[in-house]
Amino acid sequence: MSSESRIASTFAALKTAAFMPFFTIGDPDVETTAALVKEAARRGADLIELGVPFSDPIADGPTIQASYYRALDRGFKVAQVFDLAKKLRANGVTIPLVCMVSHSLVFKRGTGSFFRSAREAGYDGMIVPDLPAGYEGDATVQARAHGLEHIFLCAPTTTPERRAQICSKSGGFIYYISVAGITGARDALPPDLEANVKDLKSRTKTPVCVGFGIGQPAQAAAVSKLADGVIVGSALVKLAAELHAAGKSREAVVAEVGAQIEALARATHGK
Amino acid sequence: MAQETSTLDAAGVQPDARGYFGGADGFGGRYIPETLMPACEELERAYAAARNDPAFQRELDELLREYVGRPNPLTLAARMTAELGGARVYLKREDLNHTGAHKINNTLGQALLTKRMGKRRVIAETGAGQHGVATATAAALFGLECCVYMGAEDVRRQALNVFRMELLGAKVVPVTTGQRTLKDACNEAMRDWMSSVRETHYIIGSVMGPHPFPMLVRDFQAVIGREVKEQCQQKEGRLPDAVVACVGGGSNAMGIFHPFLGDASVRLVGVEAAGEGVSTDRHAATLAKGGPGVLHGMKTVVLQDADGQTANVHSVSAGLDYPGVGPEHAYLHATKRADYVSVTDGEALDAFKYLARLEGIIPALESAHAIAYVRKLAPKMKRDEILVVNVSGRGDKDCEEARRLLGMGG
Repeated sequence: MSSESRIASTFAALKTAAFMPFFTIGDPDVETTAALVKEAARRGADLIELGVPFSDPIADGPTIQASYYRALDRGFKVAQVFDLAKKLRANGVTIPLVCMVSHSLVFKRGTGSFFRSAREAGYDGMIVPDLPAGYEGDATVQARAHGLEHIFLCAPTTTPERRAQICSKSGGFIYYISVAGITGARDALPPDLEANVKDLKSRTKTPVCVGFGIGQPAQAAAVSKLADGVIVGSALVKLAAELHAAGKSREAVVAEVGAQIEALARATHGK
Repeated sequence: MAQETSTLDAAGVQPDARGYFGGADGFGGRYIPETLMPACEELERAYAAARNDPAFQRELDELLREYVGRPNPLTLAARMTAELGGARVYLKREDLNHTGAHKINNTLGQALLTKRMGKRRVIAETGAGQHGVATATAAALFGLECCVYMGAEDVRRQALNVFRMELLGAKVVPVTTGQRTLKDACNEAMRDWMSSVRETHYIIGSVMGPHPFPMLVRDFQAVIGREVKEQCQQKEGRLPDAVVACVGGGSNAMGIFHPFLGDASVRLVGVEAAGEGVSTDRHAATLAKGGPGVLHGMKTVVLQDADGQTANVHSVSAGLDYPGVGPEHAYLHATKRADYVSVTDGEALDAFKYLARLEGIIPALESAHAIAYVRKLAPKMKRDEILVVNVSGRGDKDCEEARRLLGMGG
């Protein structure tokens, strides 16, 4: 991957940790997802992670799983993953977009085909959480060929041998899973977080972002002191779902989630 | 498919070092979150060491003999043979095992591994409840904490097994997501494992999931086929001509097939659940109607929609109600070493009654699928030919549901 990638230049330009919110595509509908991306970019997010609904997610907690089921119940199709990015790029949205998708869906379409469509649509990186290092096949090669960063995850349980492998393979950034567990907001930061992030940073110049279990601005501020990026998913997905379920309009949902994103981004940026 | 990476010999098929049957373009592998990778590597090491440790084998053999009651008989089904007018039909009596099904062969092996890995808790998914009961039993025997995930729909269909698990000291968690059946129970068990992996072993109940589970479960179940081979030799002085077993994930079939894979004269037939018919959208005939896909940590054959979302499946039998199949079955299907057929809910229910009335044996609804196909196959075979069918479990657990469906009694 050249140093010109949108993800790399974003991290290079930042003097603080990056803030990266996560949204589920199509929850409650793709129009809202598009509006949330635009709002997040306006409110201080540095990159956006977009999750693709899947019928049998195993890495995701109940909040994200429920959002996937809501989107699927409303007729979500994989083609919308690409349509969404295309529309955002056509509307002048330039923020880096990272697509998180189960290998079940990538494999069905064919890795090369999925990645090519993702790149053409305007994505900058791919996270395939159930495609661990050693089993990625030609996915990293395909990503490079199509100009995408292939981002690998690293867990607290990851052995030193695998950490080395992940550090050498991961493009754009390394997604460090803060807890051995599923996604979902938690109250406290795990005690081994600092040592593990330091270990990864001693192995590579690739930025290390931390996700899973971060929901509050205070947590984001704490993580931003250790890592190059802070990822918040479940807390925002849950907020949007609750507002939507309470009958709020799309504009109101986007504004309220946007305010929370701004608080998290400011905390991450040390403001 | 790269043949050099696997060996087909008297010992059967072995996956390559990364767990693929038939090479990297074949089936299997390890499609799991990074968090679980170290656990699968640890299990692989523990199993490799146990496999080469005579003490482990002795301990397992003793448990199978003294606790499970193995070897169980290979029973000549005399009235069935006479009625069908073809091959001599033998029943492999896994229904006579302690806990009433083949599942215990695997859970005792994995519970022994759990102890070797120094873990104190086991979890399991279950469909019909047989694997849940077998896991709860092994956990009680070894003093392990046990939690079983079961689809809420199956909790309803298999209330007696829920009670048995609880009686054995296990916690049963009903899963209310998705279709509320076996695949959703697998998702939840996988999630539990993500959070608890350091002190918990996940006892997968079939020849599925990430490497090394498909190989390991098969090896623990291969005792079925080894006994059949020996018993058939004793009774008939030769190998059977056909071996028939039902296939959901496929552990009883893999267990009985495995020792025969190198015997080209033995026809192997797996029977899937056609539900309301393979031409409807309510079936679980994965190999008949599915395509290559990734699910629950393995590359295999899966029932999916055009996007890769898992399709809804249906079978009268909770144990066969699964949209995937073990990767080694996908491999045997692709290489045509085994044949895969399917029978409908109705045919399985008929076979359930048929075996009860002709042989005095009430089979599990899963096993009734295999019996249903024997009724079609045996008459086409010669009278001097031998057919062995795996009665993988007994039907006590299904009596309530079968009574409802058959509209009998009550």
